[in-house]
Amino acid sequence: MKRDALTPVSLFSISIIFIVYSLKYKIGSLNAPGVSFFPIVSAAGLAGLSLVLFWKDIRSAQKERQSQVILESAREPIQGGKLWALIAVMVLFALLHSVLGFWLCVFAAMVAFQRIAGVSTWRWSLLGGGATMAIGYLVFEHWMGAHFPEGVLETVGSWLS
Amino acid sequence: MDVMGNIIFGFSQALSADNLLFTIAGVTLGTLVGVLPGIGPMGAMSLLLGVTFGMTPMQTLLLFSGIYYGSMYGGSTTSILLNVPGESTSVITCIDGYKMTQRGRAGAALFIAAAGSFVAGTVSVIGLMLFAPPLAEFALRFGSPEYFALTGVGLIVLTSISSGSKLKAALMVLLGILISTIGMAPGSGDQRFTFGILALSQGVDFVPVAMGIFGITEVIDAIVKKAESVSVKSVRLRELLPNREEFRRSIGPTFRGSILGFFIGLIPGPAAVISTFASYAMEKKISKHPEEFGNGAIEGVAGPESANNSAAGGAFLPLMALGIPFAPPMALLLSALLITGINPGPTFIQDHPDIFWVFVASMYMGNVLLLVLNLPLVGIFVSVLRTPERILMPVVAVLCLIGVYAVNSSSVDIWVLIISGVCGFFLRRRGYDFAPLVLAIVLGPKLESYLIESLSMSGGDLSIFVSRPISSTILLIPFVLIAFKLLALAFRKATVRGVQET
Repeated sequence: MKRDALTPVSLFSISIIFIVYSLKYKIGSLNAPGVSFFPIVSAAGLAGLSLVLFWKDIRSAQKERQSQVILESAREPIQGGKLWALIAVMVLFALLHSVLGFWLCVFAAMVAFQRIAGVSTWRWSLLGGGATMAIGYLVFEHWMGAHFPEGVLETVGSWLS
Repeated sequence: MDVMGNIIFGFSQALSADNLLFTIAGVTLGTLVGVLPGIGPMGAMSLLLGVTFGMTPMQTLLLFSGIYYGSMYGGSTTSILLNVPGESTSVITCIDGYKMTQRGRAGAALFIAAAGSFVAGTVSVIGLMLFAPPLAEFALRFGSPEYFALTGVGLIVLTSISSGSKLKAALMVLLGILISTIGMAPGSGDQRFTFGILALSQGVDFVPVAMGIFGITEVIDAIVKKAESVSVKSVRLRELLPNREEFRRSIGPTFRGSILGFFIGLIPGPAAVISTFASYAMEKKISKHPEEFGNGAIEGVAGPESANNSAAGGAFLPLMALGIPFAPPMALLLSALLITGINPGPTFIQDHPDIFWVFVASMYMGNVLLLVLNLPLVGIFVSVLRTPERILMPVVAVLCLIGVYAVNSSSVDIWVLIISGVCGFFLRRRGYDFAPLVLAIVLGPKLESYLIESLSMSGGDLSIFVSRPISSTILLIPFVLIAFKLLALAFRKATVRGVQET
């Protein structure tokens, strides 16, 4: 039977990182707590509970009904290709939005999301991307006055003018 | 000014075109997200956090509160007509609501659900109106030890009543607290855990985390799962009015559910969901015909639907009077208000009576509007279910990306959004609940401030928390809960033993 060791181990690692970093700052004492007093107590609690969860999981993997339910839900069929494609699109958006321009990236991301989600034709996807970009620009930048990175569009605009 | 004077003032302002528009927008959006399975009030509210920077505090409050209590109405519609709960708060309504639909009593079930929700919404607003000002006045006596006790106990209670594993809920609380420690330390202002990233010096903002785990997680979940599509049948509502017997039988459950729901709404955590189960169990227990439950009993619709609406209203009380959000939607509302420069707390009602009383009046009006929206227009809302996820989900994802940048103009927030969304997806698949995480991120800095201030006050003496009457009373709550649980367990064991012996 497969166990979920990854989550408690990840949480334990996070707590250790916080504990190690906490040692760089002033811990202080009960009557004069330093900046790392509260984080170190919380991180120690997280480390302890992560170990308890890990130990419980090992000991009662066969018995504990709760674990079985969770593992069953973790085994629910998912489309792995779509998952990684979604993550890739979002990461590319985060990397490129200030370089290529925010609204251009919104257009590209919308097209990609629609294709991944199952919009069957490129024509509809491109149309959806264009509409989202236009409405987004009007609502957020034009009406609400928010500022978004222009990226290469700014350079192109300055060349043209 | 007395309560009546205040509420008349509230109505005079709430009826202005601007405020009325935001109330209508809030309750309509709330009904829509309530109808749609997947996109809940949390998703909609977190999505809209991105537009609050352009709104006034009043508009923010009206829009967000409207979404929250509006979703409680909408959730029942699909439960009754299609056996598909729009929200977790309407799961229990499926049992008897859908049975009524199968018996040709869909209209009556919808009417009772909407009327019960209206009564409950009104009861909860009255409760809020009557209890919030005195509670806020009482809270002026609170010092840091009392607030520390209240916040800490809130998180403990939240962990103990959280759905699924309590251990996992506790882990999420501690993780949330740790995330909240990134950035500036309260009091000293020293930087910590920034890992050399300048943008983290202000801490991890709650907005991208909330948008990630309630927006992006939902999008990923909907797109990557091989989900079956919901078949929406056209429903005729020939008999919208319940008959005399149905009406008579639903009066008691409606009022009991309303009062029960309001008080359960004050408990930290998923109070609205708990209130529906509590109301259903209570109605079944006191019913003269318990065998009808599960076969289309009108009490099984009236009680839970009233309770969840009342609990939604009750959840506003701790936020408005104490400044402490005990439910995830209230944490989102608090964040939205903070963006607009308003910090709810014990002095909120005194300092901003205009906002509080207009908000109370708008809730009365919102409930009337919801009654109109949920009865004659029910067909339109059900047809929303026909919107394909392949269109809806990409729009939600892109709105999250735009909205999260719009709040702080920060690229780091986009990364936080993506990381939260992806981690949220994997954590959800492993049975972790987000409510404790979200509340801990919001309450973490407060908890730390109160602890440090309390320890400074007492010179490091931890007995300060038990030597002060209010704080020691608050700290007793978890022990009382444990005692109740142990008593219930012992009683159940004794009953089983008695049955076995006979």
